[in-house]
Amino acid sequence: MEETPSTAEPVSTRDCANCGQPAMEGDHPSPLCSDCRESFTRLHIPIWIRIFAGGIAVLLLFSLFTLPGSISLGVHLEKGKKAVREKSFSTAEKELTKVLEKVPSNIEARGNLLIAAFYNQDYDLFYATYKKLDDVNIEDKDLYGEIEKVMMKAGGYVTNDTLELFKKTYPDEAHIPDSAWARFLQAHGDDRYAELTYATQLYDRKEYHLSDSIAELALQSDNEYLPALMLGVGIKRDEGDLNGAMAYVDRILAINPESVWGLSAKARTFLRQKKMKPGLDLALRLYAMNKRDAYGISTLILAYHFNNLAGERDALIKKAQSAAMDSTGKENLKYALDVINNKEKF
Amino acid sequence: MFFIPGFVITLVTFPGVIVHELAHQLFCRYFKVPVFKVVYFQMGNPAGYVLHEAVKNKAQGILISVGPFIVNTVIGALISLPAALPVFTFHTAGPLDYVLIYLGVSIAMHAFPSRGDANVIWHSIKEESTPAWVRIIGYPVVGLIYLGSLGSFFWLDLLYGAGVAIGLPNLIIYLLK
Repeated sequence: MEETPSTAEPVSTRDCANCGQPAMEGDHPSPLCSDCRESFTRLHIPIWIRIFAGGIAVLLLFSLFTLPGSISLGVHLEKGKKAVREKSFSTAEKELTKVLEKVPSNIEARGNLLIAAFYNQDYDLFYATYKKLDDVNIEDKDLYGEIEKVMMKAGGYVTNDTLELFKKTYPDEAHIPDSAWARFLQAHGDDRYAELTYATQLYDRKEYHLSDSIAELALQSDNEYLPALMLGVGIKRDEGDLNGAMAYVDRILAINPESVWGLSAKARTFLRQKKMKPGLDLALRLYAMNKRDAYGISTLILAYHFNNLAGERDALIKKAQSAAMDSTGKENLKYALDVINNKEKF
Repeated sequence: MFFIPGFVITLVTFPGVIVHELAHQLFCRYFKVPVFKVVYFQMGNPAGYVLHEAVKNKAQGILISVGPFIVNTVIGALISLPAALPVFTFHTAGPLDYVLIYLGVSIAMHAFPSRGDANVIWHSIKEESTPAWVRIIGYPVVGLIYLGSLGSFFWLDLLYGAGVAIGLPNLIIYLLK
């Protein structure tokens, strides 16, 4: 390895050890005249070292220029992964999307985004992410395990051939006899989607008690089955059991504390419980989190309305009406407007 | 632990040796200490050295000896920082990223002062005229340099280089997240 010897012991002569001229006065270990001392003190760097140092300097400048972007990308990835671990799935989706905009091939970000999109019920993103991960080898065993868990859950969110075949045997899907449903569910006890379909039909028929029982059946095979929990909120709300509805909302928020639907439902339940201020505060927090979600927007419109903030309410209605919305969004907005105009009971 | 001859490692990581000697030279220039000869790189032992006038100011002498530790660490870290994530986290690295990592590790692993540097400090601070505070700082520095030198047999220098070039970006991200 390299050494740095410090030699040049002081010599007794007073002449300059380099040029022979009389050495300068002074308390220096080496007898050097002032010219020679100055010359040895100056930087003498060979041209090839200057070129080398120039190259390093260029690379250093390049590094300094690209460093912030690289660090920022790493921070977004870590924040996204941390958010998934902490079940802050909305934050995770935002952070990981930023990573994938720059590095679309990153499997870690893509895998975590799949998990976040699932729990955020962002099914378009979930499906698109799933397609991009198809045939990709995921080396991280923990991540792979989490993805597998989510994929198993996702199976209960879509229909299947057996259920479709069963439904096709009846001319009107909405009027399948209860006895037929009972036989089907007995034979296919693990079919959460079938249980949800039947529970939803019962809910539409206002048979809340039975609908709740069937939804609970689905929750027995997956206690995080979000559509059943959401149905539970509706059942309890329509039964007038607002505490029961809040219990279902809290179960949703335990799975995803940043669930836009869950937070909206909680805010609306507060409003129904006449807790106007907490309802408004929560609706505002939700809107700050996600300004584009139609359910969140209509919740804030309702919160403004019940808190007698007509100016804010009307401004938001105007803004929402001018924004592009899908059919569900329009339906949500229409519901809020109908409540305001007393066409719909809240 | 497998054995690779020292000259091979030195040859492969020659940029670090050059920066190490440049750092000594720059610190000499900063303290206006005459430099008589600089060997930036050679195939031998030592691989490089700086021959300068004995430094009367003991603190300056210590700083000249440990200068490469500061300069090589900072340059090694800065060069490799932006490349560490594309190479080790995002797997999107291009050839330039690998060059930056190679340079960063090479430079950082030559940050440790050599035993020659330690000897200079040792001889300097054991003189009676050395102030007590310089001795308090100097003796542990010499001890650490010797430990580092001993550790290089177990790839400590390479581990340090990799830690600076690879570990530091992850540490920064961990602290910022």
